[in-house]
Amino acid sequence: MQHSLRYRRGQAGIATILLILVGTSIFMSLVYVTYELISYYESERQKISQLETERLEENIIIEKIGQGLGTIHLNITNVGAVPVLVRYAIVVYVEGGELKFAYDEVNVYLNIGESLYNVKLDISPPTNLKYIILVTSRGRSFIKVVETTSSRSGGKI
Amino acid sequence: MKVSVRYSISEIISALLLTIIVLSAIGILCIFMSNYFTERKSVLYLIYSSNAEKLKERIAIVYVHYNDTGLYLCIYNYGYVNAEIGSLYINNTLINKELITPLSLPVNKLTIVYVNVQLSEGVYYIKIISSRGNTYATFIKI
Repeated sequence: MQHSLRYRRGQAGIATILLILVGTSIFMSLVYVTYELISYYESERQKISQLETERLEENIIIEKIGQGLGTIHLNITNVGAVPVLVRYAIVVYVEGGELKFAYDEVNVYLNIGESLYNVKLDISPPTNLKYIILVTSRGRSFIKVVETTSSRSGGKI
Repeated sequence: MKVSVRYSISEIISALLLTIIVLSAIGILCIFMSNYFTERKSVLYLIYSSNAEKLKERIAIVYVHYNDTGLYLCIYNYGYVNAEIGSLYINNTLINKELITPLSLPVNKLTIVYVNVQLSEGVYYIKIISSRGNTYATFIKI
């Protein structure tokens, strides 16, 4: 009789342990899933935060604009705290009394403090050039005003 | 002696019954919890991934141009995901999507978005809301 009681207690103990194991594994998997998702979100947030910080530290100067045969030449200097990749150049000009624009892919890389001379834009030099905007890979735009506009067309303030 | 034998058999049967009951209960619980977690995991993942995608979407309106043919928005996507214009407002007036081409803004590309509108002289507030719900705005003086 004593043996039987001990045996049943043993069975109940095994059942309890099994239930605890199942409960623990469920709880652990829930914790793991939540941790995995939160860490993924956090890493993405940090990546974006770094991008935005670097974006604010970008600064380039268009020092000189020259005109070649069917091309525009620029002298650019990186005066910011991060290297810069200039992706595009937008050229705004007046033709026939109307404000127009053209753009070209540049893809020029400038290290901190570096100056590049005669960066070529495959845009025919217009007679009435107004301004040139350079767009970087981090989405910043830097403008060089050549001449102020006065026609009934508009540009970004 | 007979009594002892009967006790032994009932002990074995009860042990078997208990084992079967416990195992089936655990089995049912496991199936239920597995389904529950798969569902919850996908819902959680959906919430987090959509938030992360919204965070990774970055566009900059680098230049806005207006002439007699219409409005041109030079938009550069410097984020990590392709973006799409969900709606465009000029001075809080919603512009019909059919007047805007193109709507998609690929990553690392400068997209010239043409808006077929006629505007009179003045200052206009242009607001773009992406399909993920991010807002980008700028002004233009005509």
